[in-house]
Parts: sequence; structure tokens; C-alpha cells
Amino acid sequence: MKNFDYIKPSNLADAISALKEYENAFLFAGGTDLLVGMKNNFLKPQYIIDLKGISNIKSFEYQEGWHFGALTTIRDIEVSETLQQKMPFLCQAASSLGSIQIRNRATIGGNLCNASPAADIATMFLAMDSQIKIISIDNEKVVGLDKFFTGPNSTILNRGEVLTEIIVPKDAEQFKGVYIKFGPRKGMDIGIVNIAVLLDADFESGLCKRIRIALGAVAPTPIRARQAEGLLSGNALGPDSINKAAELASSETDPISDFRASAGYRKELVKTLVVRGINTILASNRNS
Amino acid sequence: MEQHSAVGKRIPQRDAVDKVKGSAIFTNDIKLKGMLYCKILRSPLPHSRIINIDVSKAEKLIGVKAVLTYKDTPQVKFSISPTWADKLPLESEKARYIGDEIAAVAAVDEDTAQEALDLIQVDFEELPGVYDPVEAMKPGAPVIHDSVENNISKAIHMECGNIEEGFASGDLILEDTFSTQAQSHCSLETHCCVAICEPNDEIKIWVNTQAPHALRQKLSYALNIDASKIHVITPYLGGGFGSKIDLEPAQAICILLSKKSGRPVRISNTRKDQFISTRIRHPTISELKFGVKRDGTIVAKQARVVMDNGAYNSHGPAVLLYNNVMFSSLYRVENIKYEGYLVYTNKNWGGACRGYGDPQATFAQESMMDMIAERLNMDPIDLRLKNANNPNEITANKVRITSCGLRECLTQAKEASNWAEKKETKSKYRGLGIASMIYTGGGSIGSGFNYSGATMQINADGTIHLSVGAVDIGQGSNTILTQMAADVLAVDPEAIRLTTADTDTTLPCMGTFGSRVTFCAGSAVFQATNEVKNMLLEEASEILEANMEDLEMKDKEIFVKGSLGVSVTFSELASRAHYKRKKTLIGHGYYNGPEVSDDFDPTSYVGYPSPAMVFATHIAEVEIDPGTGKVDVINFVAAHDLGRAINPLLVEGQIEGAVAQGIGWALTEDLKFENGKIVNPNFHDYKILTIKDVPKITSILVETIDPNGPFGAKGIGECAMVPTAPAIVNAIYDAIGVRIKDLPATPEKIFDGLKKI
Amino acid sequence: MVKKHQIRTTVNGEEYDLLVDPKKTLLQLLRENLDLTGTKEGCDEGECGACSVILDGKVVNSCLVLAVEADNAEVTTIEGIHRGEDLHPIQKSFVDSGAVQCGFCTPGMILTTKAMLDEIPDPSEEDIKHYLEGNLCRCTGYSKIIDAVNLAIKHSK
Repeated sequence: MKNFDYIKPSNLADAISALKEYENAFLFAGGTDLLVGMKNNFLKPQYIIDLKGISNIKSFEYQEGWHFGALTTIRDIEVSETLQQKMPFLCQAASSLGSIQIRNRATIGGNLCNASPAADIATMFLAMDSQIKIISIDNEKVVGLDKFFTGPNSTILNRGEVLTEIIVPKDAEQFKGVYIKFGPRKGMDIGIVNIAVLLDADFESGLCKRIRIALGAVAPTPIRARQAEGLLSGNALGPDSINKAAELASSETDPISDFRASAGYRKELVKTLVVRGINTILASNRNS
Repeated sequence: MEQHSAVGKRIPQRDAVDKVKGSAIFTNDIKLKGMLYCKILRSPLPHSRIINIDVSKAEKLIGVKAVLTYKDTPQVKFSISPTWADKLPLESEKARYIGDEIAAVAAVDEDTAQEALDLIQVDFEELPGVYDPVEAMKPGAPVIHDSVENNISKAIHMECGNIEEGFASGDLILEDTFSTQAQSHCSLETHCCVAICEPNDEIKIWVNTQAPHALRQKLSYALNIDASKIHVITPYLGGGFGSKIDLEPAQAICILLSKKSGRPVRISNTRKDQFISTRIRHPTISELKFGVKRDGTIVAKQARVVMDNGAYNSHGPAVLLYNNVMFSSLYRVENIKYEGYLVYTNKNWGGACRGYGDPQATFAQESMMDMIAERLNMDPIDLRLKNANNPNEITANKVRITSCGLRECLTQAKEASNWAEKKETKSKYRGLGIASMIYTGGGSIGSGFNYSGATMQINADGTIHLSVGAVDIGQGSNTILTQMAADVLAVDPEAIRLTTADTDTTLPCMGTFGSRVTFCAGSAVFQATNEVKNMLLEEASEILEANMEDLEMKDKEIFVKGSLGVSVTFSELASRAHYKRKKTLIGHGYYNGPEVSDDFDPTSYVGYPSPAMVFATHIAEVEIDPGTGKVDVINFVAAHDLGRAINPLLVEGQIEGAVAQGIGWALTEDLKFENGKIVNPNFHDYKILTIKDVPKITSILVETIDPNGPFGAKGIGECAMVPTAPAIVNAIYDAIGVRIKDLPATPEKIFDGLKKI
Repeated sequence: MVKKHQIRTTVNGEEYDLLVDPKKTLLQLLRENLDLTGTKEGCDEGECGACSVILDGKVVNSCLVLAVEADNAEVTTIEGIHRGEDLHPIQKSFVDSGAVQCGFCTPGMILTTKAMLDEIPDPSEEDIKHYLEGNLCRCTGYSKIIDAVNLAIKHSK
């Protein structure tokens, strides 16, 4: 690891001005990606700005939608009783990230800003139609998460900007959802394909009111399968329509072939997992 | 039934308390005054000529105390034996894989050492590389070692019986090709050593080696230093699995840096260093041809094996021999042909890895056995029973089997897995698979050596002190060796003090590998302790005026049978011996066996001299997810003939750990290369199993009581991963009809296979 | 020159005032400055759990925590959980169950178990596996580790 200076501001304003002031400064949240990158010399910051001294971005609350501070840990989401009641699928996605040691440190803001195409929590937040708040020294803006990622490990964030909050619209609670990560192991895996499905349906009749499908690790960024969503929204959910949507979702992806899996296999997995995701939600809600 | 006071008991490891408290000192925990830290500059290219190395800038960096290149090292190549020597501690002419050692720095801290490496200027002339052993064998392929034609380091041509006649007598001939991938040992503790070179040129090295005594010999040879001047000490060791047997270039470098700087030097691998510079399991391609009769009798079998050696030999030649021996001696087959090639490539070098060539042979052979059973419409267990080895048998390749519980393993595993019923009621996507194996249960004297020494001493105060050269690498040999000694002396194992793994204070032992410690070191302990026991009884018989046969031992006292109160303590006996008779109570034990038979051929290992062979049967039950191809191992039975379980708790631990390693090799572990470069040198992408991935494993201990083993025991360490992969692959076939012939059985391969059906 | 930072941290109940380099990890601080070598380095990338310690009640990989972050924090390492000469019940369970082989993963395994039982006194087998998935063991196949955790739960009842 290269030498760096460590700065720990106690409020957001100080963090932002530090970010502006210092060249080659990196924001430090949970550190679970940042420190690994620094140890491998992929990342060589001269300054580390630790955000953990800023108290008001570490928790979440409901206020016309859910507002999650960027430094909320993955573990806080995983074990939150409120969230387990309101949006259990978010807890499920949190639960599948890394290990307990990682989840205790990793933050949602960090997970988003690291912008891994396979990021677990990012894929789920994308399905939830989330927005993010970005603050800089002279500006504050809210943008859709679907506009945030620009490629593997890259986002729209400019120098001097900080992602401070993730906002989940209030209607997210109306959905039933599921998160599936597929990898060769059961524990501690990164997904070959990740999928988040949110479904608002009349489970008696099988009518799909709204559906959102987000996919991870099958494109340079986590993506939404908008065409598949469009095919199903407002229509009946039957084996045929679900299969067609799965085919469509697969065609919307642009995966790479690497040593983890081939592009063709990832595309096949998308088909399987879209069907499985929808059916899992249907099966667990039909009787309830 | 013989009564045993300590042998056969489920006793926790004697070192466990130190380990749970965090007070157990491992090599990397050692910090000496003035100690320097070493980093090694490794080749970034797979194949190159070294034109020039300029270390002048590195030497000038503040904090750097010594820089080493080949110019500072003796130009003695080393390997497992001088015959196969091909590696220098720091390469001088060529670098042969990405990771090859070029230069090293000792500095006041690791960061400074790392910074210094960046200042070393090496001019390489890049050479074409070759990464596929089949390509490397072809004429015109890049030559990796100048004197080695077609890059073939070793070839084996063996025929037993008459292979052509054998095939002609069969009703069915089956041929197929199987391949296996590189596996990394992944002991949680990486390689580490601390060396200090004393002013009188004596060297002391603390090192996590599986073989301290053998390492001393190898260091002596490679560094041209008298062995008597080298003191090797092995502290607690965090897992080996074969990775810590070799002389590592880093160990030689550490010593030379200490010599050059005059200060103690520590070198400790990062996890990445560990992946890119330590040994791996050799990948193989095995073309098999089997001839069988309609009743299932195998009349002939043939293998042509190409084994990827990587850049250097290490154990490769012996691993190829073991691949042959284990392939050839499993099952009673009269006509056998084996053709094997160990081929250099510009990749990481293979070495000893749990099972030593046998997992590769067994994967191919046991897959083939399943394919034969299917063609014959025969139960796979019946086919194996039909051909199973028997006790006191000499195989066609002249391996002398003493105890043999293969049939018991097959039948008991069958029962425990509920085989018959599950086969009847088979559900879709579920399957059962079986595989058996043979391996050595006590090393081998094929190389000329299979020695283990022990001394047992009773001190004047009555303390009992056992010394063994063997090293406990986590498997629990310290515990079971003291159990054996305790049993002989009828004392509590905890009453025995133990010294191990120190070349200055223990008798030589070849080391912890080859599943040999229980048998070989155990035999030495048994002998040494019995010698002392006899001394005690002789002394006691004089004092108590009774015949030795009438004496009995318990709790460090000797009694006259039937005469209550007439006794003498160990302390009294030892005091008397020491002070009155000026005699010490020390027993020595030394094992080095078995005798080599006249028909032994060291080039093919026909007549392979092992003290005892072990056998096992694994049965895996799997469930396949047809939508993804993912395999879930839901049940696992492992039946092992181990002679006698000295400590069933620790034996189960060996089996459970080995099966987990075997499942990993079968399903998720694959060290992947792109143009000679490992692309997954971390635990993120090299996937050993987590606690979520290992199924419940039922261990069955088949006790055949070996006639020559201490208390009838044979080894268990390595063999328990040998049949795991083929059992799983056979279960996958049983579940969905997809035959995986190249490991690992990844979800993607299975998914593709399902599509083709 | 980088600026060093003054920190005050409590490790195993003992308070320390230390001057640390920003890039020093908590793992290095424990092992090198405080000689608490029971915490092991298995990968230095947060993938193996051998360096697990409890930081303010939560189990973390100490290789992915900077030492400066331990300012005003409480750290528990393997050296801090036995009571005098007596082993902690979890330690004892690991010994008795045969859950210890080479022992290199053991300290991290025990601290993660402790963090779990502090949080969930009566975990299911699924809970246990979920909590311990980040602690790799290459020797045992985990079977006896699960036995040990179950024994520890029994002891704590």
C-alpha cells in the first residue's frame, strides 16, 4: 500500500471541502473495496477522507419514501426488523453480500460508488427505482440510480461530489420481491448473475400490475430489463408470458465472457433466474 | 479382545488449548531483535532470458540492508533429489514462469523492501512460451530447460502381463479421455521462515515445513553448507497438504540474506505470493482403455497420461510414478499398460498435493468403472466387488498388499448410504455415485528412504519425555503418537512431555507426507517406548524380586500382579538407574521400511515398496439444479480401511477435511491460467468451500488391523480426498445422464451437458 | 512525510495511547505493536476471516480496518476472551469437539462465534452457517466446527 494522509471530517461540509481541496483524495466509507484496491495498488490515493465521523448519514428513516444515509451498513439493513417487514427483499439482498465481517463494515453508498457490475445491493436498489442524492460544494441534486452507473467501477460522480443518500420511493413497499444471486458456491460468492425482481400483482387472478427486473453481472453496469418488464406489466402471469419475458430479459443483457463464466451461459442463467424469481414470488404469495 | 488404555480413544488434540487461546506461536509470529523483512522480485514474464539485473538503485535506498541476485548464490540446482535438480534459488539465465525468483531484498520493513524491488532494473529478452503440455511435447515447441528434449522431464513405459492378449480376451473394450485441473493447497497459513546466520556461520531457521530434517539436508545441498551447521525448527504449522514439503527458493534466499546482512531475516508470503509461487496439483490428461468380460472381470487396462509439470520438477517425477502405481494396483487386473509423460510448461510448477497423483488416476479410472458398469448393466458396486483387491495379495505390478478392507468399505458404504433403496426410488435430478481407491498408508521406501526416529526417556523425577522428528501440521500426530506411547506405558497421554520437529533435538524423520507419520513415526515411537518399558520392568523385577511377566504398570507405577501394595514408581526406578547404576532410561526407535523386493523397478515403481496400502470407498448423493447446472452435494459417506483408528475423533477430522477438499476439486476449485498467468490468485475467485458448502459427511472406519502397523494402524491423511471427485461425478451422471470428463464439474459444463441430451 | 495519528484504543480491556501511521491496519497494529499474534493473517483481503476481531461489539476483518479507525474504540481479540486460567466456553467447546486442527483459522472462528452468540443466543444451524461463512477453514471440513458451536450453545444455556 502506498502512503496516504488520513482525514476524518466531522460533518459533510468539511468532507466536501476536503474533497475539493485535495488532489487524488478518496472517500472512505466501509473500506471493504477501497482498502483491497489500495493493497493491490490498483488504487493509489494520496488522501483518504473517512466519512464515518459524519453522524447524519449513517442511518435510514421513512419520510415520504425511505431515505438511507450513504453510510448505512449492509448489516444494518440485513437485520432491521422494520425493513424485514416492509421490504424483506432488500434485507435478502443485503444478506447475500460477502460475509458478516464484510457486511458489518460495507456501506450501501460504498457498494454503489464502487460500481461493480455484480454489486448485490446496487442491483436491488436499481429494481426499487431508487434515486440518489449527490452533494457538492455548490450544488445538490437528486438523480435516478439508473443514470448513476457509467461502466465497470465508474459512475457519473465528478470530483468534489459526494453521494449522501439513497432514496427509495414509498411505493416500493407495495411490491413483493426476491433477490437471487447465482454463483458456484453457497457462501461468500460473487454472482455470475444476480437478479432482483419486484412484483406488484393480484395474486389471486395472476394479473401483473407492475414488475421490475434488475440484473447484475450481465452488462457493464447493473441494468433493468425494461422490455421484459413492459411485456408483463398489465398482463396475466402465466408460464408462457413469463418465459417470453425471460427470453426478452436475456436479450437485453450484454455480458462478458471471462474465467468465471461465458457470456452465453450468463444469458441462459438470466432466463432461468427471471422465471425462477417471478415464480418464487408467486408461490410465496398465492396462499398468503 | 486386547485392552487399550489410550489407543482408540476420542481425545482432543493436545495442542488445541494453545491454539484456542491464540498463544500457539506460528512461524510468522516470531520477531527477533534487529530482524529484517524480505521481499522477492519475481518474473513478470512466462518465459524469458535474463539479460541483465541492475540492483544499484535498490541498494542505495535507505533502509535496505542487503540485495541478492544469482551472483550471490551458489549455482547448485535442487529438487526432490539431485537426479531431478532443475531449480536455482534465484534464476541466472532464464525465467521459466510468471513468479520465478529473480532477486531479493532485505530491508528494515516490508514496505521498504517492496519499494526496493521497484528500483531493481531487469532486462529480459522475452521468449515464446508454451502452456499446454501436449503442445510442449511436440517437436519444435519452445525448449524450457536446455537439456530436456521435447520438454519431457520423465517418461514411464510399463507393461504387466500381455496387454494385447488381455484386450483380445475381453468382451467389451471402452476407451475415453479424462482431464483434471490445477488445485492450490490453500493452507490458511502461508509459507514463512525466519533465518539467522550466527557469526560462526551456524544457521538457525524457523520455518513452517512439513519435513524439517529433510529440509536440513536439502538446504545443506543447495547452499553447500555442512548439514551439522543448520538447525531447523518448526513451530506450530498452519496446514500443509503437501505444499510445505519442498525446499522453497524463499528459504534459501532468507538464509543467504541473513548471511549477507548479518541480521535475522523473515520472509512471509502474502496470499497472492502463495498462489503465484508455491506448488500446485499437477493437471493431467489421461487416455484410458479398458477390456472387460461380460461378467465384469477386467481383463486389461491401459493408460496414457500426460502430466503438466509446470516450469520445474519439484515432486513431479514421483507424482507421475504414484499416478502409475495407484492406477495399476487398484483392482485385480493381470494385464496393464501404463505410458506416462511429465512435461514442462511455462506455468507454475506442480508438487506434492494431498493424494500425490492418485486423485488424477482415480478420477479417470473410477469414471471409467462407472461407464463399464452401465454398459454391462451391472450395479457399480458389484462391478467393483467383482474386481476388488484382497488381503495378502500381490498385484500384477508387484505391489504387496497386507491388510485390505476394500470389500468391507464397499459393502459398508453401500449400506450407510442406503444405496439399494435410493437406487430403487431415484427421483429426477438426484443421483448416487460411488468411487473407491488405493493409496499408501505408510509412505514408501522407493526413493531409498522412509525413515522416522523416536526417543523415549524416563527422567529421574519420573517424567516421561518423547522426542520425535515428525511434525504435526494440524492433523494431530502429536496427539496420536503420545497416545501410542501412553498405551505402552499405561499412563495418561497428557503425562507425556513431547518434543518434535527440531533437527538439533530429535532423531531424523523424513517428514509429514505420504500418509506416513502414523505408520512410520508410530512404529518408531512404539519401538522406543517398548524399549524403555523393558528397562523399567527389568529394574522393577530386581527391586520387587519378581519375574517381569508378573509385573503390571499403571499411573507411573509398577506392581506385582496380585500383590497389593508391592510397587515401585517410575521416579524411583529412574532415580535408581541414574544415580546408583549410572544408567539412563532411554529407548530408541527407528523405522525405515519395508524391505525392497528384488522385482522393484525404480523407473516405473513396479514392485512399489509401501509398508501398507489403504483402501476406501466414497458414496456421494447429489441434486442438480437443471436450470443452472449447479450441483448440491446433499449426502456423503466415506468408508476407510485405516488398519486401526488410534484416535477416531482425529481420524474423522482428517476424512471430513479431505472430503471437503475433494468436493472443492470436483466442483469449484480451478486455478486458471491465461498465457501462463494465474487469473484468480485470491480467495475471491479461487473458491475453496465455505461452511455453507460442505454437506454432512458420514465416516466409516474399517479396522483391518494391519499386521505391521503400530497397533495395526495405517495412514489416513491423504487418501480421504482421492475418491471424492469421481464419486461426485458419477453421482452427477446418475442424476441427469451428463458425464463430466474434465474437472471441475462446473455448473456451466453441466448446464451445457444437459442441453445436449 | 505522512502525518501519524494519535489514537486511544482499548484492547482486551486495556487502554493504549498509540501513534499510528495512517496505512497501518488494525491487524498490523495488533500483531506488530501490541504483540497480540493470536490474530492471524490469512489473506489480508477480507476473504478468509482468520483476522476476525470484535470491534465495538461487531466482528470485522481486522485487515480491512485501519488502525486509526480504532481510535476511541474497543477491540476484543482471541487473547481477551478467556477468564484467567479458564477457557471461555466457546474455546473449550472447540477443544472438546475436535474442531481444531492446524489452529490457524481457530481464533477468528471463535471470535465470530462469540459475536454471533452475543447477538443470537440460540442460533439455528442455518444461522450458524450464515454467520461463519466468512471464516474459511481448510483442515476440518467444518463439521466439527458446527459441533463445537452447538456444544458452546449447550454450555451457555
